[in-house]
Amino acid sequence: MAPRVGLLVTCLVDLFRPEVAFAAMRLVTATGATVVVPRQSCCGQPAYNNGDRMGACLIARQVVAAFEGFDHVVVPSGSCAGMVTHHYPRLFQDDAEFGPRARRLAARCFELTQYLADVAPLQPPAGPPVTVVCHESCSGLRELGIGRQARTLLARAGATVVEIAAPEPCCGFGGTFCVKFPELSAAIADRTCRSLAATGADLVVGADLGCLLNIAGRFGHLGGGPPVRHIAELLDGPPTAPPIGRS
Amino acid sequence: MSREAILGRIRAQLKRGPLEPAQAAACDRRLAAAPAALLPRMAQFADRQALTAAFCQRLTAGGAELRRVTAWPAVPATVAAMLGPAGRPALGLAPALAMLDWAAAGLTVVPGPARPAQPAAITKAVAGIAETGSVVLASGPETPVTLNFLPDIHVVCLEAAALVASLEDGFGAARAGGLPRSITLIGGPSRTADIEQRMVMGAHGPRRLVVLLVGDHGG
Amino acid sequence: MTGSIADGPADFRRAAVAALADPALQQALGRNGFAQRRAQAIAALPEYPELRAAAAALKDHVLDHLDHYLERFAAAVEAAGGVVHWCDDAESAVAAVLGVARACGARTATKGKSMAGEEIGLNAALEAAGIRPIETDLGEYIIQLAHEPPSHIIAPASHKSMADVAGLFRAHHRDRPAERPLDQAEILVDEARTILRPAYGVAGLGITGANFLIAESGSAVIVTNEGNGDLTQALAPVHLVVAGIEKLVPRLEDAALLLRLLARSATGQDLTVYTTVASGPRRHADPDGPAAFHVVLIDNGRTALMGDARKAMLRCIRCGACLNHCPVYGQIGGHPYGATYGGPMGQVLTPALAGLGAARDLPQASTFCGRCAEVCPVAIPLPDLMRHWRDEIHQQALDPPRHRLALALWLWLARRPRFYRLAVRAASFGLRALARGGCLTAAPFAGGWTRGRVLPAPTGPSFFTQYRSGGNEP
Repeated sequence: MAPRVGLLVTCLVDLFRPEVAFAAMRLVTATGATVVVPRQSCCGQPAYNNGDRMGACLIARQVVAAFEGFDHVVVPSGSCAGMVTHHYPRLFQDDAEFGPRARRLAARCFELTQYLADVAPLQPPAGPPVTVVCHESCSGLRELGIGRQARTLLARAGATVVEIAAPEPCCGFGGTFCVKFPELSAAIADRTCRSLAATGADLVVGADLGCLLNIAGRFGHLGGGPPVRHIAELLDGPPTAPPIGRS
Repeated sequence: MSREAILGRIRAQLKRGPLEPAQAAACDRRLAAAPAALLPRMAQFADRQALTAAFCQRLTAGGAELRRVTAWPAVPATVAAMLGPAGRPALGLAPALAMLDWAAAGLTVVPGPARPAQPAAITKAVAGIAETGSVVLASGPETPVTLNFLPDIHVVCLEAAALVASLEDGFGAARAGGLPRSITLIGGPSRTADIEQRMVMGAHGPRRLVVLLVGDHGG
Repeated sequence: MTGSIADGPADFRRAAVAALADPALQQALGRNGFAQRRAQAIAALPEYPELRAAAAALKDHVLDHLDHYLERFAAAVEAAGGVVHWCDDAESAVAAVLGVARACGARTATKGKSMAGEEIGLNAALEAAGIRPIETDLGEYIIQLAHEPPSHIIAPASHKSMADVAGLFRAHHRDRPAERPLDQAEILVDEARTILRPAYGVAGLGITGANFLIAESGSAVIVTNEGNGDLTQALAPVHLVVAGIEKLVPRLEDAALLLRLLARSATGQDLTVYTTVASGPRRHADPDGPAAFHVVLIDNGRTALMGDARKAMLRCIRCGACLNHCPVYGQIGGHPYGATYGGPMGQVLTPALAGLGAARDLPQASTFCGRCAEVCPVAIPLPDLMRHWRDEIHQQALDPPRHRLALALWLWLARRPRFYRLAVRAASFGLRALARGGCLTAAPFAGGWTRGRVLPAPTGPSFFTQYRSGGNEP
């Protein structure tokens, strides 16, 4: 029987780039799963990372309740997936009711590239022969331990993946950090943008829209740089929407 | 009193009173004997030869100069040869080495702590650590501590038999006859990278570290 | 150039913005090669993960029994003929040092590098008491001449260029020829050596920090590459150690475990050039060494961390790896943090030392990228501990009212998905209406964002608007 997969859209995708969610739905469907998008708002990171644990718990309960009925949960964002898999169990560590429920959900929740590379392997349609550079989100790298998955999928789609010289630079987005310390956030993005551009890649891709908005936003401010897209758009066939921040 | 205040705050934060006698005894056993060390492979050697080779390689990689000497009587001449003109003024000497015939090698030595203007000092190490390529110097009446730091050239004599594998072994050798007032591990000449991260030798301590490995243990 | 020095941790954002605009500082930050050297050193130590876990467990064991080990340490110092001074805070620590200095009649005090000394403001206190402090670590000496705090816990003058140092030496070493060349690091190091050499012999007091305190023997362990700490303690008649209470380890062998991690994490060396274990004053037959030995043990807010997860902060061995790998520190250096300890470890420690009100910006100034925790040799979960402080900041309502209001509004909406969708729909519409060429260069409520970045516009109506109109509403 086809697994039922719940899609956690994430608030940035919902607002800024709905194409990513539609692409993720098609990609997960192509693995033979039935994709469902339950009622949802956000994973709770803004509250959790700004000291409002109570608020984060309230939202996390909503997410647990909305998604615990699925065989798998897929999230097109490393930081939101990290929130569910890594931080929800800690948030409910001493909660007799939600603790076990959060742990069960965490075990079945996957970031999109993780799902498509490791859980339900996908052969994406061959795309144009582009050279791409991957920006790893810090949550993906350190909370989920992923990075290889995106490269595997891009290679399967026929893209040439190039690597940046300096390893693993943070893009400076950092959730609400980007508006609390905008100058620092932009300066950190600048360093990341320079190392991404130095690869000469045709396209920057990543699996976290927060990072990509920051990177594309900085490239846009500087008036140059390669186009930036979410990896789901590239794996889903020829993208229809313009690159992030362009028309 | 601050002592009681600090101890009280620690206990309050740990939500307990003074340790129960059994716990206190467990800590005291921990103080009396170290648990088995977690030794990295670079501190483990198949035989003496490998240990000696690693010590020599790591010591010189740290910027020290190394000479193998077959026996103690040959030490003064080797020191004289290595120092060249720098050996002409009176040199500081650890009393532990006073029995050697320095005059025969043309060297003037002043046994005792370091004095200003001595260009070099000759001391004796209690051990050498192969893991790190360091010599281990213990202070005492026979080995004044100031000789290790004041002169521009620090000459250290070390029995090849006194080479040990690990940091733990080095500390163990230094305290075999009771803990000395000071133990210093030295891995090369003094240096600093405090200006633009450029490595410059001879910051405050000796500009040269010369190690004489005495005896032919381990080939 | 002096970089940007915050007046205190409350001044963080202003000082950070100034630091970003300081070209000399930016150039200096670009010279930091520590991360690369650390990576090479760790790669050459395959047992690093096991050593790291053992080091964290060791420090946790000590912290869980700290009262006992401190008492044993004090007894061992006294048995060796030394004196222990227990100090609740910076003021009492300074008073203890001044008491020793006055008792031994010191007119000058040589100092090895000590972050604990920086923390309690020791130099200013010594000067005020008429005792001249002379920093002997080259980096500390440079910033002492410049009247600046350290900008990095292991490389205090890393924000200074060679030209800055040359300028300071010309201004302060007035008895030297004015036209002498000072354009090479070797020349500058040699001049500092020549100037500082006589100080060791005349100082009445030699002050060092401690990398580790050994409970079994009452010893203080220091590591240096310059040998200045050794000259300081071996040549002064009185050796005084200033150290936080968390520096304790049970035995010398335990220090060996931490030594394997410290230099590799800090500078990428296997071990520093000098590692010295000092135990008490000169003994009966000793021809040299200090005649008296004092240890000033400092709490100064540390015990306040011991009641919850923040206790892990006291594992810190001050290697500086978290600074060297932090994207924020890498942009601004240490001065904007407005405290002795900058970078991630300082962002957790400073609120305990300086008070959360003054330091409320520091735990917020992180992207939570997690590199600091990843490279920490004692596995301190630094982002989690910063989040811990953020929880307290929020509970105590120390965060700015407009942030609280925005968070409360967002939370209200996020708990009501129906309203949330309407709000997202409206935001999408508004942002698209203001967009030109796919992005916005100015936007309401996003002024900070659009100063250094454009804001990519939504590509169309929100996902849930499109999804629902496509008939897919669950």
